[in-house]
Amino acid sequence: MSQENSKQADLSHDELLQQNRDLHQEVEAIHQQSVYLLGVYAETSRKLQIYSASIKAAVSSLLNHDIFWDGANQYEFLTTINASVSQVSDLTILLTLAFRAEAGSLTLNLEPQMLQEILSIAQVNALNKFPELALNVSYPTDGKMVLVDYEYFTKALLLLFEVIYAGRSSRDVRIAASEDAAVWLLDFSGINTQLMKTIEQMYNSKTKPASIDFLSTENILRLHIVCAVLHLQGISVKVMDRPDQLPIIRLCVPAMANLSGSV
Amino acid sequence: MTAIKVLLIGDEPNFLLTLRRNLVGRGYDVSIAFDDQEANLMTASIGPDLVVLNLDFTIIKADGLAICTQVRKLSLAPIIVLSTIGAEKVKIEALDMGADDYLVMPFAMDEFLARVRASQRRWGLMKTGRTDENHLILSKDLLIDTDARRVMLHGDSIKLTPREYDILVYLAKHAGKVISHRELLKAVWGNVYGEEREYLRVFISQLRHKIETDPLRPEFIITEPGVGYRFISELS
Repeated sequence: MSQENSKQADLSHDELLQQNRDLHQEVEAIHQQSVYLLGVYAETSRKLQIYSASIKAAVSSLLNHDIFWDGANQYEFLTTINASVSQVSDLTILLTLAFRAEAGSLTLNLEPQMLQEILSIAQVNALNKFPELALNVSYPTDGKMVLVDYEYFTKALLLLFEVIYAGRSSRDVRIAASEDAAVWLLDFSGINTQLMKTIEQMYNSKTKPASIDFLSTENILRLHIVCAVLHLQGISVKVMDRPDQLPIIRLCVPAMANLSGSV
Repeated sequence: MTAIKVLLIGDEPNFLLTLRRNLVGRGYDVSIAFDDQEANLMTASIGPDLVVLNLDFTIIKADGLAICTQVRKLSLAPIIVLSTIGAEKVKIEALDMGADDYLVMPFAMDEFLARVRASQRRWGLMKTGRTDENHLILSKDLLIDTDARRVMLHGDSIKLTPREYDILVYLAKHAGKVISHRELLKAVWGNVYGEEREYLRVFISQLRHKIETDPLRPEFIITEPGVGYRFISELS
């Protein structure tokens, strides 16, 4: 503490003023980030109310005795309830993960895993959820293992697919995996360039991206969770937008030096 | 007898379809507009007897209040607005922009249906111009013709929304008597109301701007602080 104080005493008046300005800017940036995130949470909560309203309306309709609902109508009410419960459930899970990420309480269990297996599972899950999405995943059959949390990495990829699905620029989304020195490279193509840049910006900075209004609240939450999970696993994100080449967004997944596997 | 035409406006399909199923099951003729353009077109073409507007858009980016204003320009039919909790300012603004009633989501279906029925009773009276007593109410230069549902001030006809008209007539029919907030709410909005004093503040303010020479020093509708309102009439 006394060393800190003597360091402060050595600073000139101008340097102290500059330090003060920098600190103010940092505080302001944190405040802005906090306001922005609270706005996202409030908007999510509003959507939860609407989906709950749909459930309450349908359930109270079935409970009303002034009218007889035939089998077809009852089925339609139940279908509505089922769809709305799924919406509430999805949003609740997103909120839980986002709050945990924000509180620093997401606990990941990093273990050696085969990337090929994770990609394969994520592809199957994505195609089950979005059957019309042409998702091509290619990878070599062998290579080094990666150190990731199997469950969270698979979940993050699925969340990423959901956002990509909403903002894809073509029907075909392609993921090409390749090994390069100490990392695995996952190159995503066929995605809207604006979305790629937003993902990169969200990954690199906690402040609100310049252009994010094109994303739904759910997708903003998804990307926050994806970025937090990638950070916790040391996976970096970079957009490669070179002339005469398809723009790609690249995830660099650290590989384990001495462990390899094959499928 | 032709069915009552209801126009539902919003973009949350599950919710709107549940409302439609309920209304259709009870004999209403229901149409749905999923955005502002459809809302305008359908209001103009269908001529609804009731508009139910969900102010909270979830899929598209649309301004529910702007839609409310636009629909009010195209139709005098009652507008029931629906919104989520925490939007009190929006609630007042919606009433200010011509909405007649407000329901906070989530709500039970029987409550919604009760509001629909109440709005239709008022709308039916307005369309037919039928009243059963005191067809003329006079107060200084203000004349209320309940048979014609017309209000004249200094000999000129003035335009009131259905809700403003109901409040004015109720107060005028009980001229001289202090009418509590609760009584006025129940009389005009229906029995499920009683605590929504902010509704009254908005509508009384609007009314005063239309019928009073100086709304800040009203001569017709006097505020009884903390209690309610009193209508001052030469005849009372």
